[in-house]
Amino acid sequence: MVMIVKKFVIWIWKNNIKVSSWLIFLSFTGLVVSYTLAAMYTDTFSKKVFLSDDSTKGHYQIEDKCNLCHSAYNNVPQDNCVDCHAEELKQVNDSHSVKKFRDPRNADDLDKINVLKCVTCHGEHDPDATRKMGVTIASDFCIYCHEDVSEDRPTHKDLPFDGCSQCHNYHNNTALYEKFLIKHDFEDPVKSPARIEKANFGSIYKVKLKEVKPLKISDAKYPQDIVVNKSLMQTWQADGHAISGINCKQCHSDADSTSLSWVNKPTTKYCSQCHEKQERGFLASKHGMRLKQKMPAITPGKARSPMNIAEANKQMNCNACHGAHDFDSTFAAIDACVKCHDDTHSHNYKKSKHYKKLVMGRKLDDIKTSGVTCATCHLPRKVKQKNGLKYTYVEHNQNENLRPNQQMARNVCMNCHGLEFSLDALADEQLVTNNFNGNPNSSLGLMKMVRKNLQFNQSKKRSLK
Amino acid sequence: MIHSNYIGLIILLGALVSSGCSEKASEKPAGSNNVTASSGIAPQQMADALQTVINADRVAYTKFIVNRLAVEEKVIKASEHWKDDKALLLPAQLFRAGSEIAQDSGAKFSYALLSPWPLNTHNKPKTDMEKSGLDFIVKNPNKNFYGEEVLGGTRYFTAVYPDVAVVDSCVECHNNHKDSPRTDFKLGDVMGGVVIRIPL
Repeated sequence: MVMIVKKFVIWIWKNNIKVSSWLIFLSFTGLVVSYTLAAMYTDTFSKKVFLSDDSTKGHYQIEDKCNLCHSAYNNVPQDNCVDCHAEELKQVNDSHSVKKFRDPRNADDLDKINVLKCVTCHGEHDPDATRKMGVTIASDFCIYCHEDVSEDRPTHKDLPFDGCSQCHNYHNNTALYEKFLIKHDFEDPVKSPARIEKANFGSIYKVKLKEVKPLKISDAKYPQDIVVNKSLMQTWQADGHAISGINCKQCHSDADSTSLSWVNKPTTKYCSQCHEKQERGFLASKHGMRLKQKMPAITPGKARSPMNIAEANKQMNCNACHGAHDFDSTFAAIDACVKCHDDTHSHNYKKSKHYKKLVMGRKLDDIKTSGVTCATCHLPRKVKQKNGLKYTYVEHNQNENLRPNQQMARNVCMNCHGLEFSLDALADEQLVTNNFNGNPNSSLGLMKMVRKNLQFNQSKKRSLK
Repeated sequence: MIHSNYIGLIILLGALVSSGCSEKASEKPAGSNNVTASSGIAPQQMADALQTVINADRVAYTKFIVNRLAVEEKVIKASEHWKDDKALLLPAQLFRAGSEIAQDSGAKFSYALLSPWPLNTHNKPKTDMEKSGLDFIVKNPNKNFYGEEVLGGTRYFTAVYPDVAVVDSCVECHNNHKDSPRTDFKLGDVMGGVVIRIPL
């Protein structure tokens, strides 16, 4: 080692290289190497320095944790995609689920387009080539397997393959399969009665616990040395938690301990003990995806969508929308959203017919089922059945209805509107911007196509008989 | 320090060499996956055994569940859109669901229900072996078809078994379905074939 250094110094001397230049070069190199290593192996510095280009809208919040998507060798293992997206794909009955293509008989098709891997169609760090939902594959990719679609669907004969996504979605076609369209043909634009399902978490919770006694202020149990504001107690008494028999200590405890020791400011981790489904949705949403990855919560200031600067530092956790003791769902469903979101669609909400209907409903004391709030569309009520019990809960993944927004048709719009009207409205970008204040300007013509295809198949069958 | 680096290098080389060895060791002769002639079960025997089980479950489901409950007693519907309609899976869908679950659980063999007259065009014969196999069983309803084919660089033993209409509802549903390319099926007809593949 000593010999090498000795030879190096002699070489500098012989080549007349100034020592000061070398010192500057070595210091600079040392700094770069140190920074790179620190960014790679610690969380002290941002890893953005390693990004080849901007991440997509779906992943930018977690771009600092390269290993969530990439393996040590820089590729993206399929399991890393599946870890976050499998549940959602299962729920929408994925039309092109990977399991449909594992049979070796699909080998030739997979050579053309490897649908077993998400990254075949969804790329990252390539903003110029990225379309909605992080799609980077050429837009006419359906042609690989559906070239002969017009044989059974004559309406598709002259349609370009780069336009399939106007009506179809690769993963979710729950509102677009023929039988469903036929079943909902000729529906009125506005149905009567038009009703939104009422969330019933509270009543189901009571059934689960069998005996629930609503609590009053005198029932509240908390340490005697704590001074409690009277108005806070009144708020608690009037709220769903006290009505459902949830006493102070059930939330004011250490979520990581079994001792139930009193905690003045409990973390929202405790909410999931009862609201497990809601938490799961929230953590899958853009509001909670960083928390899911054990990263600090997103704040409006770091969001890519336009946000109100006054709320820039608000941490997105359960309490961002729900009060600590007042869990008023009406506030959470509108004001909590428009307080942060500063875009035209949000600004136009209070000018919309949906909002006017809500105000009318409030007057009639029918608030839970009349009118449309932000949450009605973006955090929709879902009906499930478990152990024979029908329950309606609020899906807290705000993104689920937006990939693409056609998903809203079946999940939400069809409670009040006909299917064709709903799909046409969701496809009308101007209508989306003005928050659905009016009727769709044009029609996708889906129902006409379905009727025509049905007639074609019926006449083909008659000719076979 | 240098000494420990050498040890590291030796371990690394050792790991590389041993991983190469283990790869070679896993290369088994044709008819592997515990179905080699030397281990006692030939690919055809295994395919025949699989078909016996698959077919038995399928017939039991069709007769004792779908036909009894949805056709005769009409206490529940069987529907292509079984989730939406809160209904029973159609027998062909149960077959496919089982096949996909088997693939998901890592089975090396695969099985599919195909037909020259499918309701779902995905189930049309695709490979040359599927085409000739289905053609053979339609013409020879009491015989099976066996062959070998290469798909995606892997050689497979492929068996095709006739799939026969066992109850009236098979025939009625296929003859009346809007997407059916054939409308004159009769009870006992070969409506398609079960294709089983075993990698060699």
